[in-house]
Amino acid sequence: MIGLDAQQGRWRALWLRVSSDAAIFLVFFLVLLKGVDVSLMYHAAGEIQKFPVFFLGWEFIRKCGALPSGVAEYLSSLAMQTLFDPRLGALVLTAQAWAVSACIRSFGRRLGLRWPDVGAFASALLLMALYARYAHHARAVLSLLLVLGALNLVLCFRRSATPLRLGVVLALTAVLYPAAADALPVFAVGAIVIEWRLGTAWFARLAPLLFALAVALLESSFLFGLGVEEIGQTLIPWAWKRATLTQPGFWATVGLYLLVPGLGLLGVLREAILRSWPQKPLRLPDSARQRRKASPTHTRPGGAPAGPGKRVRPAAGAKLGAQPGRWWLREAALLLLLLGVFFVAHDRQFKAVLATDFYATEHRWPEVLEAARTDLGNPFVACSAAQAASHLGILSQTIPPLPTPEDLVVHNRKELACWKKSELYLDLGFVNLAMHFGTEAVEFWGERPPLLWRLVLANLATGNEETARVYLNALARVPFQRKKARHWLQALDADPSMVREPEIVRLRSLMVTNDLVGHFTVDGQMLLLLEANPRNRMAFEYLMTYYLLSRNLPAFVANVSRAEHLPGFKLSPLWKDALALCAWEQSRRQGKPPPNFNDDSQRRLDAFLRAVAVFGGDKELARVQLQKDYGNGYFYYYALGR
Amino acid sequence: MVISTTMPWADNGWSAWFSSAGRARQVQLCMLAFALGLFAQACAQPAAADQVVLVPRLPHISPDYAGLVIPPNIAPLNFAVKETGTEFYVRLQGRTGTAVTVSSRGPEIRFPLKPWKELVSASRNAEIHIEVLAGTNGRSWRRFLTITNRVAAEPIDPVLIYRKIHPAHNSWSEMGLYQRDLGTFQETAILENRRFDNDCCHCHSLRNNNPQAMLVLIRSTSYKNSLLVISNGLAEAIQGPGSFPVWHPVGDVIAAAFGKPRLLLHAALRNDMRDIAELESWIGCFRLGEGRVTRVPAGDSGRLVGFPTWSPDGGYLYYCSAPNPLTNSTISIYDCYSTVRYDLMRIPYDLARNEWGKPEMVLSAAEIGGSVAQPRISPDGHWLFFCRTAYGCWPTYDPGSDLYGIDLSALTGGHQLISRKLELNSGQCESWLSWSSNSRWVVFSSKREAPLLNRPHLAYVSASGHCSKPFILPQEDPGYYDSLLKTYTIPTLATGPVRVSQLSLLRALKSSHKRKLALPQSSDLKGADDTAHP
Repeated sequence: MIGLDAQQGRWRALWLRVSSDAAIFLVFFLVLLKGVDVSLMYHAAGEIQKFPVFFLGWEFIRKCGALPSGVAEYLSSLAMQTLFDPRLGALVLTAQAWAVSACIRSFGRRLGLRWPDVGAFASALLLMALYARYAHHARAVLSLLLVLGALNLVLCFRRSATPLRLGVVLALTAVLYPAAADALPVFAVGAIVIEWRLGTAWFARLAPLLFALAVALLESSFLFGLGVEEIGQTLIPWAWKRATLTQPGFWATVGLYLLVPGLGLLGVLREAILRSWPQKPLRLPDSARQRRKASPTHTRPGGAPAGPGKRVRPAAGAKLGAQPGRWWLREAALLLLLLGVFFVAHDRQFKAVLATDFYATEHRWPEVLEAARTDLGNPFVACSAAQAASHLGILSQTIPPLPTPEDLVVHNRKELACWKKSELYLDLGFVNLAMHFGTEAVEFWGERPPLLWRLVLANLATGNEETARVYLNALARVPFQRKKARHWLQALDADPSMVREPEIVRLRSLMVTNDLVGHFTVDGQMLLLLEANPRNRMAFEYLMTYYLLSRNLPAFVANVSRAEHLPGFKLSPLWKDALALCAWEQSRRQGKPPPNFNDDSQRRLDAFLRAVAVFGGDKELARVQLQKDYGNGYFYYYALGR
Repeated sequence: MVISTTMPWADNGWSAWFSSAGRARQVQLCMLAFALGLFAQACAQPAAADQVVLVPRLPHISPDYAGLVIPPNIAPLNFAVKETGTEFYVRLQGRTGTAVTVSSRGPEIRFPLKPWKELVSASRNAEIHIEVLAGTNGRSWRRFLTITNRVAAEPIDPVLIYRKIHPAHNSWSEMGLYQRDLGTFQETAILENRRFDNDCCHCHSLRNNNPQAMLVLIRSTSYKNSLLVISNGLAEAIQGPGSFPVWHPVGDVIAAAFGKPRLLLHAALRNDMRDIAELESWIGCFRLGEGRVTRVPAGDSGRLVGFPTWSPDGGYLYYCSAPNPLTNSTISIYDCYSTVRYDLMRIPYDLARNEWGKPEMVLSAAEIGGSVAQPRISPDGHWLFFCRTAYGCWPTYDPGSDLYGIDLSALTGGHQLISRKLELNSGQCESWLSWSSNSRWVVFSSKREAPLLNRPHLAYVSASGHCSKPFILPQEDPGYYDSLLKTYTIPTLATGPVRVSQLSLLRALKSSHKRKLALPQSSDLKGADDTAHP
């Protein structure tokens, strides 16, 4: 009967553990899906560094295999492509987090370390913190997973003779250096912990470290042609740079890498303390002793039974399982902790940057405006919002909250802006500039599909279909892009001129035709576009908005007549105010009476002037006080705005 | 895909092997495998009873490997058949020896290396024939006219060195200097920038096609701009700027261009929107042991001077030179970049005395109605090939850049030089030519396949200076170039592989005890800036 009870207890413990894991990782999945939206990481928006690119075929395999950690590099790159689909991506990241967690727990349990569940849960928390900040460290996480799997494999030999087990460690070390060298130190430390827990001789305990050093030295030299001075870099997943410390998610990854060594170190310290502490032998409670007898899993690792007086842990969950209330309480606490980590770590402003860029690329303009509300102070968000406003026909009704007028096209921003500019100039129809910034962005962000698609469009628009075909063939080797790329290739085969493709037709109708060389200002670019096609409404609105933003009212007035080329275009009240203001300014400078313009603008100007006069010369106070009533008008922007 | 050479088992003593009774089981297995092989081949190969229709034209294949002169030591010219069909059969027949047949269920045809090499090597100075059949469902076959290529008597240098980089504008990320064994498909890295902080390795050159005497220029923020000198198995880095370094064919003298190139972007130009203009440029020269750069008296300060190249005997330094319109301070580079046209000039050099003579005009820009760039002299000193562009100094960005040639022997005879457009040009940009050490082969970068992406092409040059139809560097995967997003620059033929390890080069580059090039005091030039990419 006792055996049967023990069996039932174990099943119950297992069931509770599985239920607990299921609940935690279900929430993990839902948070990634709804809270984080991992597809934004895939899009990357020119913000997430080194998001992995992946191509099917031997060439990419060869490239990955040319340096240590090649297997992790390849597999993590492949895994990260699933983020294209938010559900599949969230599922893959959740599965990866579960696997890391399960491996840590299994490692801790099988070695009889303290708090294996805590270690396992901590890994989930750290990964949540990582993804909530839109960091991925894809290769580092996958390397760690491979190494944790290898450590659990070593544990399968814990009852074997020491030389055999050390042979397995050596073989795995030799395999892990090309596969997951990033995490090889974790493997070495983990293997040392195993040997220590098994109570082997001191040289056997040191052997994994020596193996790792020897393998790294030999394989780096003979397999990869690396120098001794380069080995150190291969054994950590981060670059030896100060900038590394400020990378998003860096410390979460460090924490992940320290979990196994940390668990082992805690175990060593605890044992050392217990040994040095003069105390009477620990007495186990009767129930625990019975469980120990019934459960052979609570023996010392390696098969030797625990000695008399040694503390033996009860079966996981058995204690809680006996008290369902406490179990539920614990589960609720864990879930709250997970959600708490998400809420603390989640970078909402960064999400706004990613989301606005993603929706702009997808031409989902209302969603751009919605996502932009979170962080309109960011120039890239504000730039996308202005773009969306133009497409929704409301750009002329308001002054975009851009830090500088040039941020209308993020003109003076450098590296980070290349991604956005390549998309924006394609939208405007300035194909050559889109190609330039797309090419630059490839250098900064890699051969990412969104960039390659832009280069396809730019090359097709300029009639360079052979180069476009090369980009399409490359895209056809990227998971989740194959179908679309092949469709375009078929279309290109059927009609190389692509005259039936609406986007190509649109771009060709807008492209600049006057070939100039030089460094163009924002208005210079827009004027070139309007010279090529006066009906380019977006370019016209951008030109006028730029003049308004830069308070260049004479240029605004001089170009407003271009609206004649746009059928149905009506001047917004904001633009009428600007016209009125320009006329008022001119007459004031010339000492003439103000001209008559439309009543609404006149009334608004009079009201604004009266309101400003109240504050005398205190511009700051006026800015604050009048923001509410006049903040959306041009008079306010012109006189008091940014 | 099934590959076979015709009847290779005819006289190989198989009957004696069969007689061994102890091998009965193995024999059964072998026979089974043999039968399966025969079955597979029979399925893919036209039988006598099959219907074969003759198509009176050459088959469409990619890359285009028809009507070529090929080196006897080239790797298999694998190709994809661009004809409709469900199976393909290709038969390669040389002058002598056994034919090589390849049957394939897909359009990709890959010749086995060893039989190919034997067949091509045995067909020196003779023709090889490639017969292509496209079948549908194993019954109906179409036979196309036979492709005929000629195998030259003279081999090409066995190694090709090149740089692979994205078609970059101002910035760069991944790039590397690689060497390719032309007899096989093996490509190995000489230097990859992911090993040195993704900095730039730009120009490289060899002395007399010798891989043991090589120069590589590195543009690096982490390790300073440096010239890597590979000499007799050792690598040394000399800190200093420069571009297009060339090593004297006899002495330890290096000439290089020092300039300020500026990347210009066209607002509406098709194909390639990039352009390069030199704001200043001059040629400097230094002895390896000294490292003190002296200005070559190749022109006054009012001229732009670049692209140095030594004559094979080292008696002359050829270069390109143009009046610098920017000496007039009221003019902007944007206004005048398209008016700069370079002449081809040379200046005598006495190695023993280290003295320069007076510059001589070789070919004026007016004569060719364009600009001369990247002059390359054949090792026998007979021919000088160069790029002719509409203007400027950067042919690789000019869609209209063509390769021209002049017969240098006319110079010694006192005759007038006549430049000639070479037969190997296409409608797209050609640039970066390099000669084989026997002066019978050239390699050059061409954008004929895709107007943004340079691909290396090989061509035979006859004794009379005429070029055969060029062909793209063969790859094991015939579709390799179809999705390759990188471009090949400065392909250079070498008489053997570079044997200095990448690690040695990196150690030299990262060394903190590098010598420094001492530039002339009068010059405030900092050398090539970060805007130009060969």
